[in-house]
Amino acid sequence: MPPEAHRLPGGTLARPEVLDLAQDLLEEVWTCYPDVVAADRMGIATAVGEIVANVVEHSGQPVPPRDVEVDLSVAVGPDRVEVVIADTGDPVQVDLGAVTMPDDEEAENGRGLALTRLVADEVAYEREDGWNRWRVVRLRGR
Amino acid sequence: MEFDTQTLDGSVEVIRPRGRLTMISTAGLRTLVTETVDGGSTRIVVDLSATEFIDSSGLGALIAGLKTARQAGGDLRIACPTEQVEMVLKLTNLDRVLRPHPTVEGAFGAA
Repeated sequence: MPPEAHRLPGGTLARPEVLDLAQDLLEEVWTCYPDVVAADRMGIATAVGEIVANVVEHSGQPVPPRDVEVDLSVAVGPDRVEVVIADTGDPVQVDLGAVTMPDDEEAENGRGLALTRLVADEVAYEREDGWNRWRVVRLRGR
Repeated sequence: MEFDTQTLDGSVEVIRPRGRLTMISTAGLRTLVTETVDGGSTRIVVDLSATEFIDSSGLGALIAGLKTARQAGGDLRIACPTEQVEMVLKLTNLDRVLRPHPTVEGAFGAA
């Protein structure tokens, strides 16, 4: 992450409030980069919203029990917006290649990651040193 | 999240969420729809003109509300989606299930 990244405060815990904190942070970022077009703002907001919601949802009962910390940073470049969402929750089992919308169109769940993949150009997950790390990239003006 | 409510002519209930419709606020919307239907009003319009952001939980709550209203012999329609909401509805193909209307008054036809 380049030094001009915008970030949540260190030590932020994975609680439902983080969903609003993340969107508030993005809105702050857009005021610094007014030339990021609406489609890109909405795409990033949507992708970040889904991933942060997943982090908070899965942080409820970690093994062993512990506070789950979340870190989120945003970097805006001339051709892309990149967000890294990291958390100290349990490892995630996910096959990003196999994620699709549910067959049942009246399903109430299961769309989050599929939606993320539609609004982002890159979605990557890795686990390192006790941290889950999601990287979301949206190419600008696509 | 706040929910404004209003009754239109023809006993259509309008629910207008204000703010971001995400994990925290969806329980409130689900409860409000259930209470509205239990109270005898089974035709509901969710006015999304003040919903600046929706995520997949929010979509789930709208679908749950749709099912609740239909099971009671009514229906739930959505109206006036903001840009991000419209985008998400299209990408998830839920614009076919939820079919956004351009006006609240017109959501249940004639007006």
